[in-house]
Amino acid sequence: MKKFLSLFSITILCILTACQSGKPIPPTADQPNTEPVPSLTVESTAEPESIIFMAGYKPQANLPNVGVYMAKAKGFFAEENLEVEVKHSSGGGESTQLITTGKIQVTNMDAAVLMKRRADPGLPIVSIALIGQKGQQAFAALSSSGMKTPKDWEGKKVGYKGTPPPDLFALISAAGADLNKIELINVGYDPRLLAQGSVDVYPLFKSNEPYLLRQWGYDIILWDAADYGVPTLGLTYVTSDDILKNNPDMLTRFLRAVLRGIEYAAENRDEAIDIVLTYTGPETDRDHMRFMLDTEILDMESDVTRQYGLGWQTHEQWAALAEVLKKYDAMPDVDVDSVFTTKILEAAQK
Amino acid sequence: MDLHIVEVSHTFPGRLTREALYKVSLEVPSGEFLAIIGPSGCGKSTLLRLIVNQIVPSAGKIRIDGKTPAEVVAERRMAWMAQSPALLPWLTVEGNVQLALKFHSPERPPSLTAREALRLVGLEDVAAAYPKMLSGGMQQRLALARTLVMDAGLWLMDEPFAALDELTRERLTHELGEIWYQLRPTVLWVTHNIYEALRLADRILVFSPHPGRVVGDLHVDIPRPRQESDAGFQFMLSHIRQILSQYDNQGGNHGINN
Amino acid sequence: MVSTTESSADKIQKGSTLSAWVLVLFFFVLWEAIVRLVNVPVYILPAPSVVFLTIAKNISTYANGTLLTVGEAVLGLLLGMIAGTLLASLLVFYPKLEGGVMTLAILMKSTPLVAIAPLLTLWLGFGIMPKIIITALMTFFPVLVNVLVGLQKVDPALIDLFRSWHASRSQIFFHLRIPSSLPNLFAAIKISAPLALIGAVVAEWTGASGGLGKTMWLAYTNLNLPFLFAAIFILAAIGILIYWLLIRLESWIIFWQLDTQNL
Repeated sequence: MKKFLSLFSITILCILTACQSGKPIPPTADQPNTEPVPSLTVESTAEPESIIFMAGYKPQANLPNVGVYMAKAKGFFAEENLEVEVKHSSGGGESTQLITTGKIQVTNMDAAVLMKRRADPGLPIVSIALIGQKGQQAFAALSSSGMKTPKDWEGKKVGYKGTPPPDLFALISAAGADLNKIELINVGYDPRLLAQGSVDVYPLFKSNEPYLLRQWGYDIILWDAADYGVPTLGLTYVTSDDILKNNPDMLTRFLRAVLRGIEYAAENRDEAIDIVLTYTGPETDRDHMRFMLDTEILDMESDVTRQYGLGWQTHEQWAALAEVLKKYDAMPDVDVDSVFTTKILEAAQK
Repeated sequence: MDLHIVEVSHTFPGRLTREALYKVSLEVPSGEFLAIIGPSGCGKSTLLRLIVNQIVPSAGKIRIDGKTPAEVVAERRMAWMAQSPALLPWLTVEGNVQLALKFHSPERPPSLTAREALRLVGLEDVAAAYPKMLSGGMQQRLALARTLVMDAGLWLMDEPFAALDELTRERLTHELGEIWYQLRPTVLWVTHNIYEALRLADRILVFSPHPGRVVGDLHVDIPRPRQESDAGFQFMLSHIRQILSQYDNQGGNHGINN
Repeated sequence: MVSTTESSADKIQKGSTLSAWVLVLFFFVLWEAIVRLVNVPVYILPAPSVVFLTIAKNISTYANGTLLTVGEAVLGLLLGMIAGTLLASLLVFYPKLEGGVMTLAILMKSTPLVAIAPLLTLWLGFGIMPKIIITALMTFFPVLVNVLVGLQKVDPALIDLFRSWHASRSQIFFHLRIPSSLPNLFAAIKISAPLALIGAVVAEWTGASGGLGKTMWLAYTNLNLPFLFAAIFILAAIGILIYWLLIRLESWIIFWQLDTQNL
């Protein structure tokens, strides 16, 4: 009896301790350690509107994330009377599922992925801003391989992640290479494969893996499909049809704040990285994040944004992407105008 | 408690039906110490299990003080002790006896406390020990203490000392006899050991090999305490051996000792 | 009558603990030597010295992560234990349900985590509840199976004894079956505890705000192998510690069994 009593009390102690530690606020949490610092007085005295932004992937310095991190840290959200909870997805379709079921309000997605999901299975999601005016991906080879153009890929092993991306075929076709002479291999995320020579050409995100490869002492050459005239688009801010219809005002305020955040980050890159690092853990390299930010900033500007402003998106851009996807990715027909809207961008600029 | 067994037969069902007992009839008056002896597989254990309601007989009638075995078990007036002491290893020596007390018949208060029962069997010094620390003999004594505490009118003992060494068995046989003499419950004692039967019993039943039938029913009139050297003792010993050897067609003991 | 072989058993135990440490040390030295001699790049396989240094430099990150993950594992394990034990007890009283319950249990056990985890996040939100449920799902099956066996396979002599006392089914259950099944419960816990730890870690991969699993995942996506291995080392150490604690707990509670297992 005595033993059972003491065992019982130990169990209760364990449960209490575990519950305490169960409160999810360790340093690597989604909430940063720094408190927001409002730089202007708040205009409205009403209760701030609470929303959830979920990044499509882990905490890192891609532009949509950075926009949100900065808006939160510098009080841009507070000025718009918004309280934004920042979450991060582990990848997969999690953020997509949650935005369609209304559990989160805004997320970010790759433009091509967004359009494909809209086409099939017809998810009611829409882009409110196009931050990456060019696509995120490129193909890399070691400089030591001597390859100069995609024509040199003939007779070599070219990797792809998951399924071969439309850029790949478009690029090969645009460079005049013969697809039949190229060996396509399904690789995972592992730039070491390129370093070790298991694959000759490796698919990567321009703002990510190149840093790692250079860190390891490898010089690389990059091929961007956009440089060969293939239309590609990058990251977008995404919301659901529902929220777009029912709460455009919230989206406007959100977008205004994050666009300010991105502009601020471009001007104050060191400070921006400091803030990004509060979301990542100590396993993330500062210089890596800086590289990511610098690279992404390069693609945030285009003729479209120079004319209409940061984040703008046009029917032509999306239609061009749709053609590539239909041709090389077997995407069914989609109403291009339903995939994006400039309504919020217009309102945010006012 | 008296026992009234009328033409009880039992056959075990199954692919190989086994007729364990054949038309056993028996009257056991209250307070009698009855030993049952016979070769292996002659149904002696089966008879005990029928009385304690572990099995229901294929044919025949069993009445204990006029009631069915089921009723008497429900009233908790029978005590069962087997070759394995069946002690709960997570309880102390005293704890094991106290557990039995929990199951004492609610109709009357227990006549013994756990401590008193332990004292009767000589285990009060190890009351706080655990069964795994006890020797085989001590474990059977504990089982006996547990039996005592139930205040049962009928004890059914199925070769309780068979697993013990000879010296311990002798000592326990003696102690059991003393305790029984004080309390006088009705006892059915199954054994392989004729010597043990003669030491303890008022009456000895001899069973044939299976299917078990009563082939000998002897009253032991020798006054207690009984000595092996006694002439009467020796006479009965050889008489019983003779009965048993009649059924011993292949030579050898069929598992009978002495 | 008390056994006097305990002191030699203690000696054996001390000896095997010492040899375990020596083996581990040797393993690390060998690993370090290979990495240095062959010049293995840190992004393929980091040297143990680098890994330990990483742990030392980031103690608070790892400490917090460990606390969270272990907390999830413990709660999940407890939940799984309770569920498994209750189900097993139910089956003792209603044996006809065994077929149906077992089929359901096996179905749940066979469903891959990847399928269940997002659903749980949808239902239960972003907190630690989904992690605990996932961990519980991984741990309840061994408990169910083992405890059921323990409850059913009681020494028949003891059952006969209780029947002769006209004990009711619930009396037999509480006084006899439950204590009798404790060794089986511990066998199940020793299997389930490492599963619980793995479960908590894997659950964190599918989305978490903290914990060792999340640190591992972030480190891997950054190809920061020292960080990744640091988390792995810590997990291994925790696993061993938990197992050792369980063995001590077991010999304290199930004192009536001769324990021949030593770490």
